[in-house]
Amino acid sequence: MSFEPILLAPEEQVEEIYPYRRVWRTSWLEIWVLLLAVAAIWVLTHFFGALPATLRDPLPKLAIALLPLAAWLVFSFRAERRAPQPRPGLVGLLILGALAANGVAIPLQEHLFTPDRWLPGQGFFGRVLGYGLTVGVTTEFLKYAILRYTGWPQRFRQRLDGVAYALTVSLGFAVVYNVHFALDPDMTLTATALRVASVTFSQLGIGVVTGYFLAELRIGRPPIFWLSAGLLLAGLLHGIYYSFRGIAIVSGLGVGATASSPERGLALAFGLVAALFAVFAFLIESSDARMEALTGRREVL
Amino acid sequence: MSEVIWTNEGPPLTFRQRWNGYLIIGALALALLLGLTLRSNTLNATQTLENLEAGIRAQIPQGWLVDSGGADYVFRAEDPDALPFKTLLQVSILPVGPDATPGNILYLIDMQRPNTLPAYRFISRSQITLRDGSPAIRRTYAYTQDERNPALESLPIVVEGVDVIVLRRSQAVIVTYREERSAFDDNYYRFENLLRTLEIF
Repeated sequence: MSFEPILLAPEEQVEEIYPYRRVWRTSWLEIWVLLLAVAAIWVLTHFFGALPATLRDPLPKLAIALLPLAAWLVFSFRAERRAPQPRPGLVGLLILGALAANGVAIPLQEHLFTPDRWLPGQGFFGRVLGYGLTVGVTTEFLKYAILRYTGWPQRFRQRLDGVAYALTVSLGFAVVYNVHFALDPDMTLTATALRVASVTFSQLGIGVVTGYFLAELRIGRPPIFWLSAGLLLAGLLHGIYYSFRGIAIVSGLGVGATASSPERGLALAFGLVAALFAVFAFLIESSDARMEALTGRREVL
Repeated sequence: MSEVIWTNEGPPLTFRQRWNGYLIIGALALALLLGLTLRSNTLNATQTLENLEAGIRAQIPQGWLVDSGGADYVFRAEDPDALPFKTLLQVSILPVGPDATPGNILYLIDMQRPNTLPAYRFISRSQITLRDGSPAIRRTYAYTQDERNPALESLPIVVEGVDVIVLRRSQAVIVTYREERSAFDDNYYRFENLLRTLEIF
């Protein structure tokens, strides 16, 4: 007969320290902060009347436009600095993302692709293809190029590194788009806030696709058309979001001056980022688990 | 805990990684080619408009609203999606005497326009040659248009217009393009397309 002794002072179990910043957790915090801030502005304007509906001052609009950047500095960047093994070069990627958006993506969109001139008359699939194959692929190719020619492959140790870096570049894109909206004198504070949240959520959500495909190319053994497939997928996701956003905002009946409903556009953007985060978290977790089962480790050393 | 030392030198690229890098550029080029072709086809898609009674056939942009029941024009096509001014293409025919010159027609138009177009201003006049070699007069002008709905409280918009006048036997054909001033140059190609495809028979 055997028995296990019961210790009066059991040994303290040593918890393994996770050496990297937890990307999903900090990104979710940023998203919730932005969502709550935008919801607060909307409620204060439309329910309590505390903010005038015609408020067009540039300062509050700039503040809401820069809120995603502030949230990133508070949650992601600070957590990265505190992590035992921080990811380097994040600020540089953020600046490069902003420069590429302002110097290449926006001029191409406004002067060459001009989606507002020809897409509104198209059907759903025409919009998906039209927007995805012009604005969508260009945006995601620029993000790819920044990641590819700065830190890839040496800074990609695990699949989540791809997500972390791609989210940073996407935030640079989103901030520039947001500032452009904020400086538009015709936009009210509420409209700017809703637009800022929509743009930020869609850029972050679709940016994850590019990061995942780049990380998988570094770590796994994908086929030679892997990145091309990722680029087209990300581009078409932009197109799908653009098409559904049009439907979400202008569909429905209303008794006001217009029947448009920008808050449905916000809900769609939030749904997009939540769905993409969930899907790619699952894909990354299952790929990492498979790799751990085969090789005994989850990262490239 | 071990410290990670970052270097700028990455590991050498594998065959798959190299070819992924090449193919993504090809995929971008292909996607842009398709996207820009789709854009071009959409913006330049046309439909044929024919009026056998007036002897006019022309290509106008697809999806535009066409009105061919006016007393002073053969047809008028407007872009229903354009804001704040519905871009307009119009073809009119005026019966003229055998001694009429394009200058006479211009004088007649200049007499009538200020009565119908607010703040009408003549801008320029030039001689041009159409594709088939026939001489014509090109005249530009501007006027203001007020929003008809007073509840919108909008400012008047400035509209720029151009007429091309050409004499055909005992008729003067007037081809007109009008657009809000800031979008005038961007959509001018539509007017050129109309002129290029206009047949008078």
